[in-house]
Amino acid sequence: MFEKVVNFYQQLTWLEFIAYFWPFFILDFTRYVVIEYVVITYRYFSQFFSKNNASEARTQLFRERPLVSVIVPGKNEGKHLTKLVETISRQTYKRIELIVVDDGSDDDTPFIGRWLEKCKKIDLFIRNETRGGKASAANTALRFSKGEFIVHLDADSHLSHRAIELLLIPFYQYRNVGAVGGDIRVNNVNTSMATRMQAIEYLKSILTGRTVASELGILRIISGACGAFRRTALSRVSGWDVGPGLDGDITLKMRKLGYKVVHQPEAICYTNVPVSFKKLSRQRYRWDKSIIRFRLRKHFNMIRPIAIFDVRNVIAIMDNLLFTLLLDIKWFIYVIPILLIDPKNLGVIFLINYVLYLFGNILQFLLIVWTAAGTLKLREYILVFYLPLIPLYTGIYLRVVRTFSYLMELIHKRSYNDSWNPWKVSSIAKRNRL
Amino acid sequence: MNVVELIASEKQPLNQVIPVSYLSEIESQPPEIILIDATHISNALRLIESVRQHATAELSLTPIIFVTSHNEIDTAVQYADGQTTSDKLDEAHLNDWIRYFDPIYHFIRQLLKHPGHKESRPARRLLQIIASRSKKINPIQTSANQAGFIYPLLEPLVSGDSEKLQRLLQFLESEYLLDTEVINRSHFCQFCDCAFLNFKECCPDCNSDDLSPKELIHHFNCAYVAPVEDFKKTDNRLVCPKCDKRLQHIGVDYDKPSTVYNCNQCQLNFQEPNVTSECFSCHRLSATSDLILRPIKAYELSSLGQNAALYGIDSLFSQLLEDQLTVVEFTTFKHFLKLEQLRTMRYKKTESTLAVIKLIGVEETYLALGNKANDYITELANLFVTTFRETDVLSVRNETLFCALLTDTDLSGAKRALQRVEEVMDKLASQSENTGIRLKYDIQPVSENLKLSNTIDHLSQE
Repeated sequence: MFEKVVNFYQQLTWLEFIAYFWPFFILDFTRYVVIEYVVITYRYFSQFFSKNNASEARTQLFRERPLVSVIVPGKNEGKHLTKLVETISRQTYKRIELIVVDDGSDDDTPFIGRWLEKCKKIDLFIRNETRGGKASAANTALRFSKGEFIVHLDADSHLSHRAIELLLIPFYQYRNVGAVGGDIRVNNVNTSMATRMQAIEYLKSILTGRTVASELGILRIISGACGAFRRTALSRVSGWDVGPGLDGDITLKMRKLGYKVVHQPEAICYTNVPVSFKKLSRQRYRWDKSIIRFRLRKHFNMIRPIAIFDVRNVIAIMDNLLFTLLLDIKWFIYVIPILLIDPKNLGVIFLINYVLYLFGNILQFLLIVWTAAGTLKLREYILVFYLPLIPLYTGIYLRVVRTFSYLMELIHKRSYNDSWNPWKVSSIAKRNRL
Repeated sequence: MNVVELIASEKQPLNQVIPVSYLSEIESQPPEIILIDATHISNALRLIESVRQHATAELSLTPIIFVTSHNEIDTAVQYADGQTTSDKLDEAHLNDWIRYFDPIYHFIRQLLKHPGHKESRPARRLLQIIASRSKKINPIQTSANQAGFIYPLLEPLVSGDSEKLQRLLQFLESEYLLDTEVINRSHFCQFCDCAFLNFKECCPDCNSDDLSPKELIHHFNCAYVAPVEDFKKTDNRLVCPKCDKRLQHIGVDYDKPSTVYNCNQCQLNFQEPNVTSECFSCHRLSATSDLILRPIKAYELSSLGQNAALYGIDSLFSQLLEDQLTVVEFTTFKHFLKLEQLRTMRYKKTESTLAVIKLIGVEETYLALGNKANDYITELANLFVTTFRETDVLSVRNETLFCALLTDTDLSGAKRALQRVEEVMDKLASQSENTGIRLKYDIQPVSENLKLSNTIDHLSQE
């Protein structure tokens, strides 16, 4: 086989080589390696020369010491609450009120929450007897919060001890920032192969991917697991709308109002991810449907030349739609001509594609290490040995799940049947085409 | 027919009956009925108290009828044995009453046969009132009494002192002289025992009771959640401030997931206020967990109580023992036991034994033997007196449960002694048509590990 690959390679000119492997060179390598390297390099130098800005912003933050409301909506998250309050208590930024909303839990969450409230570990624990969904729980917490900034966390988030402080600094460092996203990393890295794959994926797509998007001004999502919002901005968008995908939805709503959204790679938040491919598939099935529902349907007006038009919003939307939705079918466009023109070399072409994507992933991993600036843990460095599996993971596994999700949402609007929201909410959303 | 009307000195008597101003006038020949004019209830209650607290049982137990000007029955009337109106005091009506009260007269006649009828202690009188009326004494709720309820028939015995009455009833219950049924439960102030408490919801932070509850509305369409006050009102319908849609119907497009309180003093938001109680009497604040929760009971005489009402509390088994053996309070007994434990551990020369003795069938025996029960009990008491020595220490937990510390007696010796008692008791029982009291006991050597409460609990539960 190796000889076949070498022979095939040797008979091609450079142009032919690029033509044979155009998805890699023109799309993925350019977008995910070249552009990211350029942007990260630019970021490195611009940060180097503007160190004082961040320092001054920090000084101003601690001089003003605004109240920060940390809101944690969730259902059946009682088992995580004790660790969560411990995480919050260890933060370098102290002026925090912690609000936990129990969205109709049917386990011991109410007892745990009330006990922590009585012990003054939680400032306000609200129990909603009937489940309303994550958006309503987050809005409940927002309604009773008093902070100038709102930090939305998942109950199973473990924050680095400076995370909240680092999330707040961009609000003082830049003008007109509406939201700042934390860097989500995988906590249970070594639990299974699925978690290792996700750990690498998160580092690629969040640590470097969102840092680049933030630098380019096209960041389109602040994770609900760790995101900070300016209260005035949240008030203008009237909080969260019915999900799923409410974190991406609210980010786009803020962009439409002209707010800047920033990614803070040093505000690290560890979260637990699905441990089996089956559970992972279910999660991604739910997430990927929201791209159709919110980006394609609800916020497609961002590309139209209307009052809220901003070219960066267009790029943000189109970048996502292009590289995930439209180019999901690129492999069909790629493979069918090969089958027609050069079917006997399909295996070789596949193998060379694999090597090219592996090469691209290695370059991306080096970029991750550079961007992380020493914040990676040993278990994350060791992930380099699992890189050979990533082309299969992202190129085949995630693509299959994604394609299925898109079809189900485009044809059947399956997101409205998702049990992630209670049926009473989904039925209204479906009827009103939300 | 001998019916008198007891009047306050300034009152005009009713016609047709003999008016008396002083009980001394009727002591020697108590009437069949005493009428009291209840137009002014406070006077009437004062008069009924003077009757019920009289030293002579016959007069004290005489039926009393309140005479009112109307037919309505209120709580106050229940202090007496009946109520009538002034136009129904003719002979025919009064004879009806006399027939009605026949069981009371029967009891009084039985009582007078026994020389002990002169005992006038409140506990005995209370038993006699209940026995003569053959009634279940039910608590009556009232706002006129600090405890929140009264036992009208018994109140005159204690001049309305509810605390004293409660103590008497509890004592009689502990002596198995009264059977009880829990009718209700109530919370009482931990300081002054008042049942009238104002329960308030207070802020957990500043303790203010100036709270505003806010009922939340969740609008399904846009996931907006806010207190109902935040929603605009148009044509009596709520409108969502976020999406401007009119809310249709609860459960259809919105619901109310919870309520959040806001303290108007310190602006704290919370869901679970502290519940505090303020006593209307002493005005002190208590947490609800500090309040005293007590059952409110109805009382009925047990068979033991029936016997005690006729023959007196003193003639019961424990009293007989106290006259002839070293019988001490339970607290003192525990001290004696502790000393004996220390003594035997230290010197290791002798052995002592703890015996916990339960008498089974006491109540049934009283019921079955009636008058003869007293003789039976006296014989039983003599048996115990001969079994235990002067150096043994006894304590009476209640009418059926006794503890005995047999000093310098080993386990086998104690067992032999109690077996002898058991044999004699069985013999007595067989002689009394197989009704009688049986003995159950548990004996333990006095040692370091001996726990008196465990032994008592174990035997009590059997």
